[in-house]
Amino acid sequence: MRRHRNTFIALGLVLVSLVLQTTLFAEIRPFAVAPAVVLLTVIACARYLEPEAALLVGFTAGFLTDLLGGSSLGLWAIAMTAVAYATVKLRHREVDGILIVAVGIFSLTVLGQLLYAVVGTLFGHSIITQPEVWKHLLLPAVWNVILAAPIFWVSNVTMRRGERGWAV
Amino acid sequence: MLPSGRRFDRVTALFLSLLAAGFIIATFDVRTNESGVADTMRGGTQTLLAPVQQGADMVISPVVGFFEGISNLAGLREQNERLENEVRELELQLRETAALQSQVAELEAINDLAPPLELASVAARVYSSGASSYDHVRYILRGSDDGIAIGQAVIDERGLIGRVDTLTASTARVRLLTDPIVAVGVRVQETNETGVVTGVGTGTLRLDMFDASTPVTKGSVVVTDGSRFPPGIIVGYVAETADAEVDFVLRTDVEPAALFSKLDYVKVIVGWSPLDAEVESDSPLIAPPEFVDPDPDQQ
Repeated sequence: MRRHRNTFIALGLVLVSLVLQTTLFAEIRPFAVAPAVVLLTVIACARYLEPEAALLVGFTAGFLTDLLGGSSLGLWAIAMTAVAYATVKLRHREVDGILIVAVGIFSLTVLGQLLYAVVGTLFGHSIITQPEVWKHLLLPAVWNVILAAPIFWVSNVTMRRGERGWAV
Repeated sequence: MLPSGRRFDRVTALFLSLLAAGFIIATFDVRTNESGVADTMRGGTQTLLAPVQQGADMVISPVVGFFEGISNLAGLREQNERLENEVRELELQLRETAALQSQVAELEAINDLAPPLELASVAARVYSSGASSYDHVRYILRGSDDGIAIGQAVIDERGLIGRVDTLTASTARVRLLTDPIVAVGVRVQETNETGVVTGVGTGTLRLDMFDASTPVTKGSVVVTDGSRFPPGIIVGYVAETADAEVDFVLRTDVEPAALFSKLDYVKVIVGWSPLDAEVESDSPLIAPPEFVDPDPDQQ
Protein backbone atom coordinates (compact mmCIF):
# COMPACT_ATOMS: atom_id res chain seq x y z
CA MET A 1 0.00 0.00 0.00
CA ARG A 2 2.88 2.32 0.89
CA ARG A 3 4.50 1.92 -2.50
CA HIS A 4 1.21 2.83 -4.18
CA ARG A 5 0.95 5.83 -1.89
CA ASN A 6 4.40 6.96 -3.00
CA THR A 7 3.50 6.39 -6.64
CA PHE A 8 0.46 8.66 -6.33
CA ILE A 9 2.52 11.27 -4.49
CA ALA A 10 5.13 11.07 -7.25
CA LEU A 11 2.45 11.60 -9.91
CA GLY A 12 1.13 14.57 -7.94
CA LEU A 13 4.62 16.07 -7.73
CA VAL A 14 5.06 15.53 -11.46
CA LEU A 15 1.83 17.42 -12.14
CA VAL A 16 2.90 20.30 -9.90
CA SER A 17 6.30 20.45 -11.58
CA LEU A 18 4.63 20.40 -14.99
CA VAL A 19 2.50 23.40 -14.03
CA LEU A 20 5.57 25.21 -12.68
CA GLN A 21 7.54 24.35 -15.82
CA THR A 22 4.87 25.82 -18.10
CA THR A 23 4.13 28.92 -16.01
CA LEU A 24 6.90 30.01 -13.62
CA PHE A 25 9.74 28.79 -15.79
CA ALA A 26 8.15 30.24 -18.90
CA GLU A 27 9.12 33.59 -17.35
CA ILE A 28 12.28 32.66 -15.48
CA ARG A 29 14.67 31.51 -18.17
CA PRO A 30 18.25 32.47 -17.33
CA PHE A 31 20.22 32.80 -20.60
CA ALA A 32 16.97 31.98 -22.44
CA VAL A 33 16.94 28.38 -21.23
CA ALA A 34 14.60 27.08 -18.55
CA PRO A 35 15.50 24.35 -16.07
CA ALA A 36 14.08 20.89 -16.73
CA VAL A 37 11.96 20.75 -13.59
CA VAL A 38 9.82 17.78 -14.62
CA LEU A 39 12.95 15.78 -15.39
CA LEU A 40 14.39 16.75 -12.01
CA THR A 41 11.17 15.66 -10.29
CA VAL A 42 11.38 12.28 -12.02
CA ILE A 43 14.95 11.90 -10.72
CA ALA A 44 13.89 12.98 -7.23
CA CYS A 45 10.92 10.60 -7.08
CA ALA A 46 12.67 7.63 -8.69
CA ARG A 47 14.94 7.45 -5.64
CA TYR A 48 12.04 6.39 -3.43
CA LEU A 49 9.88 4.31 -5.74
CA GLU A 50 9.89 0.65 -6.61
CA PRO A 51 11.79 0.23 -9.90
CA GLU A 52 8.65 -0.59 -11.91
CA ALA A 53 6.76 2.35 -10.42
CA ALA A 54 9.72 4.65 -11.08
CA LEU A 55 9.71 3.67 -14.76
CA LEU A 56 5.95 4.18 -15.06
CA VAL A 57 6.16 7.57 -13.35
CA GLY A 58 9.00 8.54 -15.71
CA PHE A 59 7.01 7.47 -18.74
CA THR A 60 3.86 9.28 -17.54
CA ALA A 61 5.80 12.45 -16.75
CA GLY A 62 7.40 12.35 -20.19
CA PHE A 63 4.11 11.69 -21.93
CA LEU A 64 2.45 14.63 -20.14
CA THR A 65 5.40 16.81 -21.14
CA ASP A 66 4.90 15.68 -24.73
CA LEU A 67 1.20 16.51 -24.57
CA LEU A 68 1.96 20.07 -23.49
CA GLY A 69 4.99 20.47 -25.75
CA GLY A 70 5.43 21.37 -29.38
CA SER A 71 6.96 18.20 -30.80
CA SER A 72 5.83 14.66 -31.46
CA LEU A 73 4.28 12.58 -28.67
CA GLY A 74 6.49 9.95 -27.09
CA LEU A 75 9.83 11.72 -27.32
CA TRP A 76 10.00 12.98 -23.75
CA ALA A 77 8.36 9.74 -22.63
CA ILE A 78 11.36 7.85 -24.02
CA ALA A 79 13.87 10.29 -22.53
CA MET A 80 12.32 10.39 -19.06
CA THR A 81 11.82 6.63 -18.90
CA ALA A 82 15.52 6.24 -19.62
CA VAL A 83 16.38 8.79 -16.94
CA ALA A 84 14.15 6.99 -14.42
CA TYR A 85 15.85 3.70 -15.31
CA ALA A 86 19.31 5.20 -14.90
CA THR A 87 18.28 6.73 -11.57
CA VAL A 88 17.00 3.37 -10.35
CA LYS A 89 20.33 1.80 -11.30
CA LEU A 90 22.39 4.55 -9.67
CA ARG A 91 20.52 5.00 -6.44
CA HIS A 92 21.78 1.76 -4.93
CA ARG A 93 25.38 2.76 -5.13
CA GLU A 94 26.94 3.73 -1.88
CA VAL A 95 27.99 7.12 -3.09
CA ASP A 96 26.16 9.46 -0.79
CA GLY A 97 27.68 12.87 -0.78
CA ILE A 98 26.68 16.24 -2.16
CA LEU A 99 29.29 16.31 -4.89
CA ILE A 100 28.33 12.88 -6.22
CA VAL A 101 24.64 13.75 -6.05
CA ALA A 102 25.28 16.99 -7.95
CA VAL A 103 27.28 15.14 -10.60
CA GLY A 104 24.52 12.54 -10.82
CA ILE A 105 21.78 15.14 -11.31
CA PHE A 106 23.87 16.98 -13.90
CA SER A 107 24.63 13.79 -15.83
CA LEU A 108 21.06 12.46 -15.71
CA THR A 109 19.66 15.80 -16.90
CA VAL A 110 22.15 15.91 -19.76
CA LEU A 111 21.25 12.30 -20.58
CA GLY A 112 17.55 13.17 -20.73
CA GLN A 113 18.09 16.29 -22.83
CA LEU A 114 20.50 14.50 -25.16
CA LEU A 115 18.16 11.54 -25.65
CA TYR A 116 15.30 13.89 -26.44
CA ALA A 117 17.48 15.81 -28.91
CA VAL A 118 18.72 12.66 -30.66
CA VAL A 119 15.35 10.87 -30.81
CA GLY A 120 13.64 14.15 -31.77
CA THR A 121 16.11 14.59 -34.62
CA LEU A 122 15.42 11.01 -35.76
CA PHE A 123 11.73 11.92 -35.90
CA GLY A 124 12.37 14.98 -38.04
CA HIS A 125 12.56 17.82 -35.54
CA SER A 126 16.19 18.70 -36.41
CA ILE A 127 17.04 19.57 -32.83
CA ILE A 128 20.68 18.51 -32.95
CA THR A 129 21.34 20.76 -35.94
CA GLN A 130 20.01 23.86 -34.20
CA PRO A 131 22.59 26.50 -33.35
CA GLU A 132 23.42 26.77 -29.66
CA VAL A 133 22.01 23.30 -29.01
CA TRP A 134 24.68 22.88 -26.35
CA LYS A 135 22.90 25.54 -24.31
CA HIS A 136 19.76 23.40 -24.25
CA LEU A 137 21.80 20.35 -23.30
CA LEU A 138 23.96 21.83 -20.56
CA LEU A 139 22.19 24.82 -19.02
CA PRO A 140 19.09 22.92 -17.80
CA ALA A 141 21.49 20.51 -16.11
CA VAL A 142 23.21 23.38 -14.31
CA TRP A 143 19.87 24.89 -13.23
CA ASN A 144 18.70 21.45 -12.10
CA VAL A 145 21.72 21.04 -9.84
CA ILE A 146 20.78 24.37 -8.22
CA LEU A 147 17.08 23.49 -7.96
CA ALA A 148 17.77 20.00 -6.64
CA ALA A 149 17.92 21.18 -3.04
CA PRO A 150 14.27 22.33 -2.77
CA ILE A 151 12.87 19.60 -5.03
CA PHE A 152 14.79 16.81 -3.31
CA TRP A 153 13.66 18.24 0.02
CA VAL A 154 10.00 18.15 -1.07
CA SER A 155 10.28 14.60 -2.38
CA ASN A 156 12.16 13.62 0.77
CA VAL A 157 9.44 15.00 3.02
CA THR A 158 6.51 13.61 1.05
CA MET A 159 7.95 10.22 0.12
CA ARG A 160 10.28 9.59 3.02
CA ARG A 161 11.20 6.00 3.59
CA GLY A 162 13.21 4.26 6.27
CA GLU A 163 16.22 3.50 4.16
CA ARG A 164 18.21 6.43 2.80
CA GLY A 165 19.53 5.89 -0.66
CA TRP A 166 21.03 8.13 -3.26
CA ALA A 167 19.75 11.29 -1.67
CA VAL A 168 20.58 14.44 0.18
CA MET B 1 20.87 -3.30 -1.85
CA LEU B 2 21.08 -4.54 -5.41
CA PRO B 3 17.95 -6.05 -6.91
CA SER B 4 17.88 -9.76 -7.61
CA GLY B 5 18.57 -11.09 -11.08
CA ARG B 6 14.94 -11.99 -11.69
CA ARG B 7 13.71 -8.62 -10.50
CA PHE B 8 16.38 -6.95 -12.63
CA ASP B 9 15.07 -8.80 -15.66
CA ARG B 10 11.52 -7.66 -14.97
CA VAL B 11 12.63 -4.06 -14.62
CA THR B 12 14.72 -4.18 -17.77
CA ALA B 13 11.86 -5.84 -19.66
CA LEU B 14 9.48 -3.11 -18.52
CA PHE B 15 12.05 -0.46 -19.43
CA LEU B 16 12.45 -1.86 -22.94
CA SER B 17 8.66 -2.19 -23.31
CA LEU B 18 8.16 1.46 -22.34
CA LEU B 19 10.87 2.55 -24.77
CA ALA B 20 9.17 0.56 -27.51
CA ALA B 21 5.83 2.13 -26.56
CA GLY B 22 7.42 5.57 -26.79
CA PHE B 23 8.80 4.85 -30.25
CA ILE B 24 5.44 3.47 -31.41
CA ILE B 25 3.58 6.53 -30.11
CA ALA B 26 6.10 8.88 -31.74
CA THR B 27 5.87 7.02 -35.06
CA PHE B 28 2.08 7.04 -34.91
CA ASP B 29 2.05 10.76 -34.11
CA VAL B 30 4.42 11.61 -36.95
CA ARG B 31 2.51 9.42 -39.41
CA THR B 32 -0.82 11.02 -38.51
CA ASN B 33 0.77 14.48 -38.78
CA GLU B 34 0.00 15.27 -35.14
CA SER B 35 -3.72 15.06 -35.72
CA GLY B 36 -6.52 12.61 -34.90
CA VAL B 37 -6.24 10.81 -31.56
CA ALA B 38 -3.03 12.62 -30.64
CA ASP B 39 -4.64 15.98 -31.31
CA THR B 40 -7.65 15.03 -29.17
CA MET B 41 -5.34 14.00 -26.34
CA ARG B 42 -3.40 17.25 -26.60
CA GLY B 43 -6.64 19.23 -26.55
CA GLY B 44 -7.95 17.26 -23.57
CA THR B 45 -4.77 17.78 -21.55
CA GLN B 46 -4.72 21.44 -22.51
CA THR B 47 -8.35 21.86 -21.39
CA LEU B 48 -7.81 19.99 -18.12
CA LEU B 49 -4.64 21.80 -17.12
CA ALA B 50 -5.57 25.27 -18.39
CA PRO B 51 -7.45 26.37 -15.22
CA VAL B 52 -4.59 25.18 -13.00
CA GLN B 53 -1.97 26.86 -15.19
CA GLN B 54 -4.08 30.00 -15.31
CA GLY B 55 -4.30 30.11 -11.51
CA ALA B 56 -0.57 29.47 -11.18
CA ASP B 57 0.18 32.17 -13.74
CA MET B 58 -1.95 34.70 -11.86
CA VAL B 59 -0.02 34.00 -8.67
CA ILE B 60 3.40 33.76 -10.27
CA SER B 61 3.34 36.73 -12.67
CA PRO B 62 3.18 39.49 -10.02
CA VAL B 63 5.89 37.80 -7.98
CA VAL B 64 8.17 37.46 -11.00
CA GLY B 65 7.36 41.06 -11.98
CA PHE B 66 8.25 42.29 -8.50
CA PHE B 67 11.63 40.59 -8.52
CA GLU B 68 12.31 41.73 -12.06
CA GLY B 69 11.50 45.28 -10.97
CA ILE B 70 14.00 45.06 -8.10
CA SER B 71 16.70 43.64 -10.32
CA ASN B 72 16.16 46.39 -12.87
CA LEU B 73 16.15 49.25 -10.36
CA ALA B 74 19.80 50.10 -10.88
CA GLY B 75 19.41 50.61 -14.59
CA LEU B 76 16.16 52.56 -14.42
CA ARG B 77 17.64 56.06 -14.22
CA GLU B 78 19.90 55.48 -17.19
CA GLN B 79 17.02 53.92 -19.08
CA ASN B 80 14.81 56.89 -18.27
CA GLU B 81 17.31 59.37 -19.72
CA ARG B 82 17.72 57.26 -22.81
CA LEU B 83 13.96 57.01 -23.27
CA GLU B 84 13.53 60.78 -22.89
CA ASN B 85 16.03 61.31 -25.69
CA GLU B 86 14.28 58.73 -27.80
CA VAL B 87 10.91 60.41 -27.22
CA ARG B 88 12.31 63.72 -28.47
CA GLU B 89 13.68 62.06 -31.57
CA LEU B 90 10.45 60.18 -32.16
CA GLU B 91 8.37 63.35 -31.85
CA LEU B 92 10.50 64.87 -34.56
CA GLN B 93 10.09 61.80 -36.74
CA LEU B 94 6.36 61.77 -36.07
CA ARG B 95 5.95 65.20 -37.59
CA GLU B 96 7.80 64.05 -40.69
CA THR B 97 5.83 60.81 -40.79
CA ALA B 98 2.47 62.56 -40.63
CA ALA B 99 3.12 64.07 -44.03
CA LEU B 100 3.95 60.68 -45.47
CA GLN B 101 0.92 58.96 -43.97
CA SER B 102 -1.56 60.44 -46.37
CA GLN B 103 0.58 59.29 -49.30
CA VAL B 104 0.83 55.77 -47.83
CA ALA B 105 -2.93 55.58 -47.31
CA GLU B 106 -3.43 56.60 -50.91
CA LEU B 107 -0.99 53.94 -52.14
CA GLU B 108 -2.61 51.27 -49.99
CA ALA B 109 -6.00 52.13 -51.40
CA ILE B 110 -4.57 51.78 -54.88
CA ASN B 111 -3.00 48.42 -54.11
CA ASP B 112 -6.04 47.25 -52.19
CA LEU B 113 -3.88 46.52 -49.18
CA ALA B 114 -5.35 47.00 -45.76
CA PRO B 115 -2.92 47.60 -42.90
CA PRO B 116 -2.98 44.66 -40.50
CA LEU B 117 -4.21 46.72 -37.56
CA GLU B 118 -7.51 47.29 -39.31
CA LEU B 119 -8.21 43.59 -39.61
CA ALA B 120 -10.53 41.99 -37.11
CA SER B 121 -8.53 40.60 -34.23
CA VAL B 122 -9.06 38.93 -30.88
CA ALA B 123 -6.92 39.86 -27.88
CA ALA B 124 -5.74 36.96 -25.76
CA ARG B 125 -3.68 36.44 -22.65
CA VAL B 126 -0.69 34.11 -22.74
CA TYR B 127 -0.97 31.78 -19.76
CA SER B 128 1.55 29.06 -20.41
CA SER B 129 4.50 27.95 -22.49
CA GLY B 130 5.72 24.61 -23.80
CA ALA B 131 6.90 22.05 -21.28
CA SER B 132 10.59 22.12 -22.19
CA SER B 133 13.15 24.62 -23.38
CA TYR B 134 13.11 22.98 -26.82
CA ASP B 135 9.46 23.94 -27.30
CA HIS B 136 8.68 27.10 -29.21
CA VAL B 137 5.01 27.33 -28.31
CA ARG B 138 2.76 29.47 -26.11
CA TYR B 139 -0.78 28.81 -24.93
CA ILE B 140 -3.42 31.54 -25.05
CA LEU B 141 -6.80 31.83 -23.35
CA ARG B 142 -8.88 32.07 -26.51
CA GLY B 143 -10.13 29.26 -28.67
CA SER B 144 -12.53 28.25 -31.40
CA ASP B 145 -15.44 29.76 -29.43
CA ASP B 146 -13.85 33.17 -30.00
CA GLY B 147 -13.59 32.72 -33.74
CA ILE B 148 -10.00 31.54 -33.77
CA ALA B 149 -8.97 29.00 -36.40
CA ILE B 150 -5.81 27.01 -37.02
CA GLY B 151 -3.28 28.88 -39.13
CA GLN B 152 -4.25 32.41 -38.12
CA ALA B 153 -1.51 34.95 -37.50
CA VAL B 154 -0.68 35.99 -33.94
CA ILE B 155 0.86 39.39 -33.31
CA ASP B 156 1.81 41.67 -30.46
CA GLU B 157 2.42 45.40 -30.46
CA ARG B 158 5.85 44.87 -32.03
CA GLY B 159 5.08 42.44 -34.81
CA LEU B 160 4.41 38.86 -35.83
CA ILE B 161 4.77 36.19 -33.15
CA GLY B 162 3.63 33.04 -34.89
CA ARG B 163 0.55 31.14 -35.91
CA VAL B 164 -2.24 29.22 -34.23
CA ASP B 165 -1.22 25.59 -34.20
CA THR B 166 -3.77 23.57 -32.22
CA LEU B 167 -7.10 24.56 -30.81
CA THR B 168 -9.70 23.76 -28.19
CA ALA B 169 -12.94 25.62 -27.49
CA SER B 170 -11.31 27.97 -25.00
CA THR B 171 -7.56 27.73 -25.54
CA ALA B 172 -5.13 27.69 -28.45
CA ARG B 173 -1.50 26.79 -28.96
CA VAL B 174 0.63 29.32 -30.81
CA ARG B 175 3.72 28.07 -32.60
CA LEU B 176 6.36 30.79 -32.45
CA LEU B 177 8.36 32.08 -35.39
CA THR B 178 11.52 30.77 -33.74
CA ASP B 179 10.43 27.15 -34.26
CA PRO B 180 12.46 25.55 -37.07
CA ILE B 181 9.28 24.15 -38.65
CA VAL B 182 7.75 27.60 -39.11
CA ALA B 183 8.35 29.40 -42.42
CA VAL B 184 6.86 32.76 -43.35
CA GLY B 185 6.78 34.43 -46.75
CA VAL B 186 8.23 37.91 -46.35
CA ARG B 187 9.16 41.06 -48.21
CA VAL B 188 12.09 43.33 -47.40
CA GLN B 189 10.55 46.79 -47.32
CA GLU B 190 13.69 48.56 -48.48
CA THR B 191 14.14 46.53 -51.66
CA ASN B 192 10.59 45.23 -52.06
CA GLU B 193 12.00 41.76 -52.81
CA THR B 194 10.51 38.63 -51.35
CA GLY B 195 11.95 35.70 -49.43
CA VAL B 196 11.26 33.23 -46.68
CA VAL B 197 11.96 33.64 -42.98
CA THR B 198 12.39 30.45 -40.95
CA GLY B 199 13.05 29.79 -37.31
CA VAL B 200 16.33 28.18 -36.28
CA GLY B 201 15.48 27.31 -32.71
CA THR B 202 17.19 30.32 -31.17
CA GLY B 203 16.32 33.98 -30.73
CA THR B 204 17.20 34.92 -34.30
CA LEU B 205 15.49 34.00 -37.57
CA ARG B 206 16.95 33.12 -40.97
CA LEU B 207 16.07 34.97 -44.17
CA ASP B 208 16.49 33.20 -47.51
CA MET B 209 15.93 35.13 -50.72
CA PHE B 210 16.11 33.05 -53.86
CA ASP B 211 15.87 35.70 -56.56
CA ALA B 212 17.38 38.68 -54.83
CA SER B 213 18.96 41.17 -57.18
CA THR B 214 19.93 43.80 -54.64
CA PRO B 215 21.67 43.47 -51.29
CA VAL B 216 19.80 43.78 -48.03
CA THR B 217 21.22 46.12 -45.45
CA LYS B 218 21.36 45.83 -41.69
CA GLY B 219 18.25 47.26 -40.06
CA SER B 220 15.97 46.80 -43.08
CA VAL B 221 12.41 46.04 -42.08
CA VAL B 222 11.10 42.59 -43.00
CA VAL B 223 7.31 42.30 -43.30
CA THR B 224 4.89 39.55 -44.24
CA ASP B 225 4.25 39.34 -47.98
CA GLY B 226 0.58 38.42 -47.74
CA SER B 227 0.92 34.84 -48.97
CA ARG B 228 -0.15 33.16 -45.75
CA PHE B 229 -0.54 35.99 -43.26
CA PRO B 230 -1.94 39.46 -43.88
CA PRO B 231 0.57 41.66 -45.70
CA GLY B 232 2.61 44.28 -43.93
CA ILE B 233 3.02 42.75 -40.47
CA ILE B 234 6.52 43.41 -39.21
CA VAL B 235 8.44 40.16 -38.80
CA GLY B 236 11.82 41.59 -37.84
CA TYR B 237 14.88 43.54 -38.88
CA VAL B 238 17.82 42.38 -40.98
CA ALA B 239 20.69 41.70 -38.56
CA GLU B 240 23.55 41.56 -41.06
CA THR B 241 24.04 43.19 -44.44
CA ALA B 242 24.16 40.55 -47.17
CA ASP B 243 24.98 40.75 -50.85
CA ALA B 244 23.00 39.12 -53.60
CA GLU B 245 25.14 36.85 -55.76
CA VAL B 246 24.08 35.38 -59.05
CA ASP B 247 22.83 31.78 -58.70
CA PHE B 248 23.24 31.89 -54.92
CA VAL B 249 20.60 32.23 -52.27
CA LEU B 250 20.89 35.43 -50.31
CA ARG B 251 20.95 34.31 -46.71
CA THR B 252 21.15 36.44 -43.60
CA ASP B 253 19.89 36.65 -40.03
CA VAL B 254 16.83 38.55 -38.94
CA GLU B 255 16.22 39.86 -35.44
CA PRO B 256 12.56 39.22 -34.67
CA ALA B 257 10.48 42.28 -33.89
CA ALA B 258 8.53 40.48 -31.18
CA LEU B 259 10.09 39.94 -27.77
CA PHE B 260 9.30 36.26 -27.24
CA SER B 261 10.49 36.20 -23.63
CA LYS B 262 7.92 38.83 -22.61
CA LEU B 263 4.66 37.69 -24.09
CA ASP B 264 1.74 38.57 -21.84
CA TYR B 265 -0.98 39.62 -24.26
CA VAL B 266 -1.23 38.93 -27.97
CA LYS B 267 -3.72 39.45 -30.77
CA VAL B 268 -4.96 36.78 -33.14
CA ILE B 269 -5.90 38.17 -36.53
CA VAL B 270 -9.23 36.53 -37.27
CA GLY B 271 -10.20 38.78 -40.14
CA TRP B 272 -7.94 37.00 -42.59
CA SER B 273 -8.67 33.67 -44.20
CA PRO B 274 -5.84 31.31 -43.32
CA LEU B 275 -4.87 28.66 -45.79
CA ASP B 276 -5.90 25.18 -44.82
CA ALA B 277 -2.76 23.56 -43.44
CA GLU B 278 -3.51 20.21 -45.11
CA VAL B 279 -4.17 21.81 -48.46
CA GLU B 280 -0.99 23.75 -48.09
CA SER B 281 1.15 20.74 -47.35
CA ASP B 282 -0.39 18.40 -49.89
CA SER B 283 -0.92 20.59 -52.91
CA PRO B 284 0.58 23.72 -54.43
CA LEU B 285 -0.66 27.11 -53.30
CA ILE B 286 -1.66 27.99 -56.83
CA ALA B 287 -3.47 25.30 -58.74
CA PRO B 288 -1.79 24.41 -62.03
CA PRO B 289 -3.71 25.62 -65.10
CA GLU B 290 -6.05 23.14 -66.72
CA PHE B 291 -4.81 21.57 -69.93
CA VAL B 292 -5.88 23.52 -72.96
CA ASP B 293 -5.57 21.95 -76.37
CA PRO B 294 -3.53 24.42 -78.43
CA ASP B 295 -5.18 23.43 -81.70
CA PRO B 296 -8.60 21.86 -81.19
CA ASP B 297 -9.43 22.02 -84.90
CA GLN B 298 -6.91 19.30 -85.73
CA GLN B 299 -9.05 16.59 -84.04
